[in-house]
Amino acid sequence: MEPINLSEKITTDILRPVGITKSFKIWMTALLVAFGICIYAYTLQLRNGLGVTGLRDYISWGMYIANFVFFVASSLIGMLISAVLGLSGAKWITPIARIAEIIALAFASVAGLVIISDMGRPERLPNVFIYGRIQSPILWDVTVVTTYVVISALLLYLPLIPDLAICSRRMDTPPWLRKIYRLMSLGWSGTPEQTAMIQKCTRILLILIVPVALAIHTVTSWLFAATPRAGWNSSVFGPYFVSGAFVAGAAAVIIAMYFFRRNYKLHDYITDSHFDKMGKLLVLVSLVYLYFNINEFLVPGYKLEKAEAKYLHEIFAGRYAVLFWSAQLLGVIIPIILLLIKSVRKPLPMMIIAAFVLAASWIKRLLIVVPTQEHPFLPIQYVPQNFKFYTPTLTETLITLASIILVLIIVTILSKFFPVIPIEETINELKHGDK
Amino acid sequence: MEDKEKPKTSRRKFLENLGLLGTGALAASAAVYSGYHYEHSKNKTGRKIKVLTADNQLAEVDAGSLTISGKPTLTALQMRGREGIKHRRWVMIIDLSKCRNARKCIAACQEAHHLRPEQYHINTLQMQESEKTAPFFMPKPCQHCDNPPCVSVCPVDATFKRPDGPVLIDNERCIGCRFCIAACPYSARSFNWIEPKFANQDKGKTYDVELNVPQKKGTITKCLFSSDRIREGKLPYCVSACPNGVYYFGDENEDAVTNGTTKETVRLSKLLRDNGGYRLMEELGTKPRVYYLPPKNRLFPFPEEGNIIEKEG
Amino acid sequence: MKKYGLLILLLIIVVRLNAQSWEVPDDKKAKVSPVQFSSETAKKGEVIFLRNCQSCHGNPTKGNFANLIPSPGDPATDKFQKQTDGALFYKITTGRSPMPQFKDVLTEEERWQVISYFRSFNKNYVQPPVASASKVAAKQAALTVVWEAASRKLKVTASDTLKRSLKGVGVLLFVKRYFGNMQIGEEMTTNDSGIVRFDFPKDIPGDKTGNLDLIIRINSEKGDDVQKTVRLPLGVIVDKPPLTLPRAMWNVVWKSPVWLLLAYFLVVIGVWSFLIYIIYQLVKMKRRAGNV
Repeated sequence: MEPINLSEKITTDILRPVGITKSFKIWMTALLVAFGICIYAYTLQLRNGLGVTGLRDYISWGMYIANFVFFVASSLIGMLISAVLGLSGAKWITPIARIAEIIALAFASVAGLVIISDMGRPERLPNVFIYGRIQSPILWDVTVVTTYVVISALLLYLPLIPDLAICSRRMDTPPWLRKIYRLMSLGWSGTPEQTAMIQKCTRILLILIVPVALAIHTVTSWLFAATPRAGWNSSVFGPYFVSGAFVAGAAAVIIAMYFFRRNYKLHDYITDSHFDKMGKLLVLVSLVYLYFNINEFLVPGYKLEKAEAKYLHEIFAGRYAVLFWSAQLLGVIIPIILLLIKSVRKPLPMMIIAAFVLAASWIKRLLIVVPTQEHPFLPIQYVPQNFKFYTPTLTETLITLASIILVLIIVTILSKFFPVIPIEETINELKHGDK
Repeated sequence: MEDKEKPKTSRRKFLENLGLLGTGALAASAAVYSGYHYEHSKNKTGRKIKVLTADNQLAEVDAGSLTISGKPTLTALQMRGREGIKHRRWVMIIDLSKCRNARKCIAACQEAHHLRPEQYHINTLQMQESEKTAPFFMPKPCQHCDNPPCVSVCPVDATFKRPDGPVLIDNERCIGCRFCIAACPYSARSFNWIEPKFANQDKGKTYDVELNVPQKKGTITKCLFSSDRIREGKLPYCVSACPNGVYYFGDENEDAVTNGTTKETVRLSKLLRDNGGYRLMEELGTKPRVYYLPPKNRLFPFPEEGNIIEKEG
Repeated sequence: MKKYGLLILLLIIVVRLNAQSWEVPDDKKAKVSPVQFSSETAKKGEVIFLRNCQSCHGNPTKGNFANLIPSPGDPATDKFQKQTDGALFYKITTGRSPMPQFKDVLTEEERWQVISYFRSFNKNYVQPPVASASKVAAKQAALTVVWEAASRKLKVTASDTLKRSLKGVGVLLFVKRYFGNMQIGEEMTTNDSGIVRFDFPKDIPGDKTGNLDLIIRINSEKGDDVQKTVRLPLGVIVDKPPLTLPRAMWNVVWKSPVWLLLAYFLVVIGVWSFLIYIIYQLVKMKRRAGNV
């Protein structure tokens, strides 16, 4: 096959789904309607206060914070795939690196909004910048999430520049869109100087994102670990959270890979071999996560200190036992066993397993946040029954749903207007492979 | 003038040349300066207000130091609330052997601070350390720790430790993140989940950080050691409302505490020494300013389920 | 649970038996009111009672007193009415667990008003003759205070307006504290020369210069006590810094630990200088492409 024809084919294949299609319009309308309903729930919360949620004085962090932790966790995958694997020279990640970056950017930027939905006085957000106390882990979180969003955006954008130039030259795109592409391609013409610059900057970002990504989730874990509460007062919380984050992120990427491959007809680029490799990666990160789970629960479970014992009893055999064990079994242990079988590491079964893993990751975050608060050191007395246990309300659930819908909207838009697979890089790799 | 301008412009150029490093240095110096500025502006808001004096002279005063016909402004109250009372270190002693759960302290507190019945600055808990040990009632206000975990985690300096001991909350600044609730091992804080009880009645009142009234939706509310009362030389609301002589309150620097019921003033050190005083959860290193005297000679029958409020107020 | 309840009941009975006796010294029993009881004094007494006593003793005649050990009882019943005015006065004054003492809360006059209120529920009560003026016409007394440094004693001389020494007078010494006066030692009675000497402790904290405000009072039964305040440097010098002085995690931002300030700003500046550099490179690329 002629190299020129080949690159022509690649370009056409990858760019086929780009642009406003009918299915895109239907999908977006559905998303926006759902989002609108959820936003109405938020206006209720704005008007009536956080009392519309199931949160009360003792269990004052619930679904919102768990969802925030989950979002931050899922966004970490961008770093693992692009930076850790990329820098170590794994070539197979090229077609999925951008998918991972899109997911990272979507989750990280919405995480910031999620935290605002948990605030009693969202209009006072500027106070964080006016009166910020750098001793507060919240300030570290704000700093590091902002930084991570910027790095993720740059890491998505930089390798995209050559592709944008290609897009702007495509005749079948509406003129206004081509203009945007041209503007965003920053006058890219592929000169050696430009290539060198992009390569150098990408490399800086890939190195920079490793500590920042570790920091973003470690700091999030410190929101809990920095308090003297039983169940949170743990020194392995940082790595425990980070390892859990890779599990959630890998699952999210597998799901995204499945749907992009199917809906955008990218079977030639996202191959079974990619799923096989992602399956192995998920096993690896799940094993690390399992190791930290054992650390996190076995050590206090062995000693059974007064407050810890109450909390552990609640999640092992009490109110949260069913949720806890199903999350551990369906979300960690069974997926590890299944994914060790080669015939399971195929797109559809993997997508289903990943869906379980992702759901379990979300529930696990809720189990980290809530049960600890239901068992403070001093008894909860002389309060209404709904102060003693946490039950999320519909309003609260809708507001949480809004954030998930927003992630879908962002992922859809990014993947609809920009090629989800790097064109230039794929062509280059094939050329080099031919030689 | 020109001579004065020159070094300035050259410095600006210097900064420009430094580029990135300069931006960083600026950020750092801004942080340092804001600290410096804070110290110097503690008594000033920088906002000037023109006032007419009694002899018809127009004077310009700082907004922070201005009080209108005896009523201090919000800024003045906020500043006063942060400064505290000089040379004092307030302490509270709770004698568990005397508490019989009259809950007068709670009623007085909730009335003074315009709280709902389920919102506690102070609550009396039914305690039993282990199966065979005697049950007892334990009044639990904020412990006003000298190493307060709640203040450490506050992102906006809304809750703060005062030089004289109390941990206060500024409802005009609180963003409602509830990190302090999560961090407090004593469950001492409460939140205004819905519109406060007296929201309509308190409309237009100037917010007093030492009384925490009016309460504000979406912000934290907590025990203040009745800072407004101690400023007037009066004992806190809960302390003076107790009919059983449970509470002592006073100044650690004076080594004296006064009983709220009997009004007897005794030596703090002697009281703690003679009765085996202790603090709650010493092992957490929070260094509370509230001391407890052990629940010896427990003779009151302990109710089985307490008169727990089951419905939401 | 039944077993537990029985145990409590048993406990209550045992304790009740033990707690019944509250001995009042005979001379205190014999004490009589200097105030003539009237409906007016009873009214005043009621106000005081509702404020200070009702939470345990309930409303007289209603029997709604609190379930405590020993039982507080209803003031309208025989349990109270069979006691002398002096005995009631003594009990209100001194208290015993769980009844608080009221000597610093109510003046003597107020305590008598409460008793007057109690007696209003007893039709058979006849007030004994009102006590004549107390042994000391306190209003006319004068106090001189001398600090004897060598023996660390505070010498107080009580005399009347004609500079005759007052003997046999009860004198109390207090130190002024923020919420009330703290008594030093016990009440002392003047000798023949009208003199008392108080041992003064070494370790009472004073202000920044060690000054203490001392209050010397002659106890009178009618409430018109003579009191003298003197400021003497007898205290320990206390100049503790404000609690917010040290750098700490909980302090304001400019008083946060130095290592934290440095670490935070160095990391933020370090990371963002790279990001700004990259953005600068992109802008440069755009600008060059535009020129071509």
